[in-house]
Amino acid sequence: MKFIVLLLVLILVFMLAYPLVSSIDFFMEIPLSNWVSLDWYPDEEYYGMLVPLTGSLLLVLVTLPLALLLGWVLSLQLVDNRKSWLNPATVAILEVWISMPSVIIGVWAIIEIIPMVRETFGGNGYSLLASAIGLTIFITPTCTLLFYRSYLTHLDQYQGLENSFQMSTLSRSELFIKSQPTAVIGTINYIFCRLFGETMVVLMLSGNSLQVPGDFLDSFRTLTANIALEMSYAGGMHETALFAMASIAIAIILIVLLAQYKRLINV
Amino acid sequence: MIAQSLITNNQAANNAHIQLLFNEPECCGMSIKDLSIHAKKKTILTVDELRFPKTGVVAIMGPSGSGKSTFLKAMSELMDENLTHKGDIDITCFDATNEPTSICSHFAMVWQKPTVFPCSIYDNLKVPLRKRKVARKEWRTLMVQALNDVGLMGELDEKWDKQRAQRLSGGQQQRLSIAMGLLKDSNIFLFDEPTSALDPISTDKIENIIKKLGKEKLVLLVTHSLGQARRVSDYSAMFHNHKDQGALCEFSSSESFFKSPASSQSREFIMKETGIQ
Amino acid sequence: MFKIIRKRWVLWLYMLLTVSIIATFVKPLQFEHTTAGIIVGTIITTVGAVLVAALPAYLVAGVMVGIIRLPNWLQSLTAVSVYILAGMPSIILGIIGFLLFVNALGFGWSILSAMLTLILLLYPTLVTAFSQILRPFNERYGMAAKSFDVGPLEFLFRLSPSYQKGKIIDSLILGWATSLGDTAAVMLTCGALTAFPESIMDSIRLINFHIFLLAMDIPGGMPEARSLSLLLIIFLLFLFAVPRLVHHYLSED
Repeated sequence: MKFIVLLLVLILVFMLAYPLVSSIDFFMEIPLSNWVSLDWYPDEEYYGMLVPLTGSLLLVLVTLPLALLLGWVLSLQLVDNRKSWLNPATVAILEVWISMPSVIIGVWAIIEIIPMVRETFGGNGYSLLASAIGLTIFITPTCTLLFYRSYLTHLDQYQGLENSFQMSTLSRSELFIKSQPTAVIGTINYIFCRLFGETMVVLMLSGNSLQVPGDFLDSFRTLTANIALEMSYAGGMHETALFAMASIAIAIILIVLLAQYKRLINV
Repeated sequence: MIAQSLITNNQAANNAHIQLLFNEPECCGMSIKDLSIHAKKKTILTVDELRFPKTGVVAIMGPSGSGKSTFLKAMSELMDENLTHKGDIDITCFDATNEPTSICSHFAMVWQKPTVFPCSIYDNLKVPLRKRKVARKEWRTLMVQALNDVGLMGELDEKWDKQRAQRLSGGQQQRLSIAMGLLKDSNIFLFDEPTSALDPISTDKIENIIKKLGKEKLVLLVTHSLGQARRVSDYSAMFHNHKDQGALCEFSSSESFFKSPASSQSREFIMKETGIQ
Repeated sequence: MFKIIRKRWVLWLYMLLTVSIIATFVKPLQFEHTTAGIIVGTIITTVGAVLVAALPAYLVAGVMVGIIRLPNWLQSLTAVSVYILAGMPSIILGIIGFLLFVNALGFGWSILSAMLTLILLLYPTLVTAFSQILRPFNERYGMAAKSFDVGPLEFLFRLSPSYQKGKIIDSLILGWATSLGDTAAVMLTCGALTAFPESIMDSIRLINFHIFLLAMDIPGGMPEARSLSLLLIIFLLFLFAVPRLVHHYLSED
């Protein structure tokens, strides 16, 4: 039994390291100043990875607080109304929403959100704003249910306190964060990883132009969308550059995930 | 013949009242030497020397937290992983080969909460039979015999083998787990407060079964009820808390234990329970 | 006979719905120009991935819950590796699949590489779902099983499923729904051919990829993308409702 599990873990490590291994020539040939720059122009050997990376990080920066806030407020509503019939219905709907494929949400968003943004704010419609809205809609059910479940376990201890002092929402949130910091940080971690890696919704809503967005209405490109789009026609050094981008993405996600490793290790 | 000798242990005064019975090898069933159970470098139970007969019911009593259940679990190697135990538990009288892998097969344990697996009665009774080297054809007769021994056969209908075991009442489930222990064909039965969750009628039925079992096998019964110990047991052991550590303070035959308990802790225990000086 | 049908009429309704949906796609006797290839290819890939990933996921869930005892360092390593794989975005898994299965191992764009990539995707979902099932079961019956000398494998495969069949099938269906929905993982590893697949090395187009292409790349494909996604939503709702109904009707509690 030990060997099977060890084998599985080793296969996993090997698989995660493989993009790095394939892109080793990229890192050896192209100097650092080339790919840490703001020009992604593969035809002329400019592989500036900062362009899509900043796009990704900006999108996550905009969406993360919004999604967390919405999810938190919704989960408090769910917790407070546990007795009414709406609660199991809403939880069921949220669970169905979570398992809905991102393609479908992307298609729906193209039909509904892009024209709305275009008419209200002008411009193309495919913008940072539209992708932020679409991504928030995509990720809020996950947020809500994660907060809901961890708040319910927190309530086992603190229900009496909250009731007798009639605590306001702000003080309850403070109490929750103080009593279960690992749950909250774990949720934030998980949502960050999902937002960073979300490809389909962003691909359909962001317009995919190669620029760092200066305004909410600019179209931009994220790291994952870049990989998805260019992989089909890339060749040679261009392809290796895409693998290098993937390995950088893996590295970022690993750093963010492993910050929580203490939760899992039994000492 | 039981050789009675009162041995005073010089190391701890609390061991003064342990009668080391069953010194002859023919009548000694299980003997325990220098057992100590630790939880992360803190000792929680020590038993210096104790011997059990081959057959009979031994009641183990004591206040909560004195280590009775831990003692039972230590003997059948069923403790939590955080606990370690050191010492000698000798059951060579029952089984000549002392293989470490089949320790569990010498003990049959019945828990406080009736624990039957969530399958049919037949599948439940199949679990201990699979480990023994018994032909498949004989399984059904053995099962019916075990169910008869615990008195459950009369209460079940004809299709008992397809019935789900969790549909039985608490007392019936407890008797089913005793039947499973019987099918294990082990010589030592461990009961951890088997009737504390049951009503008096089921308690009475189970006590009868325990008495009957005691005539052929060694039964260790942890109980909180002195009345039960008095009704059922032949020998009694008393555990108590000594300086944050569990320890055995008295072991003798039940008659002498209840008529004139030797140690002060047992006297206190009996007094608190019955209100009699 | 009619009593049985009457008691379970909702089930029959759903089955009728599915059959009619599938029937709209299949033009009889003309397999070259239909979407039957897409549907059959999708079903083979996703169901195959779920079934192959289920067994190792069940064993690893047993490890994580404590049923199978492993040394401490190995247990932490397994937990961390499942955690990391769960947090990996699906496009990265698609790239790993592309590099390993399409290029290095030489399978090319085929059902096999799509299936292997989907296994990578599903494995942590299934491990989490199974450990949520196994943990309370172990806490209740673990000690009793140990006292009967029931080993961990026997515990996992004989005692546990007899009680938890419904929940296990629930988790498998959850895994299936996840794999049906995820485009980024298979985008780079399935091909894009719509022909009816004839062997495991044939390249196919999965239905989520098809919807994506219709919406983005094929001009005028938007209405068809909308209708296909509607059908996919209905199918997923059906997938979620069926185990609950089956449990409700067939467990006669």
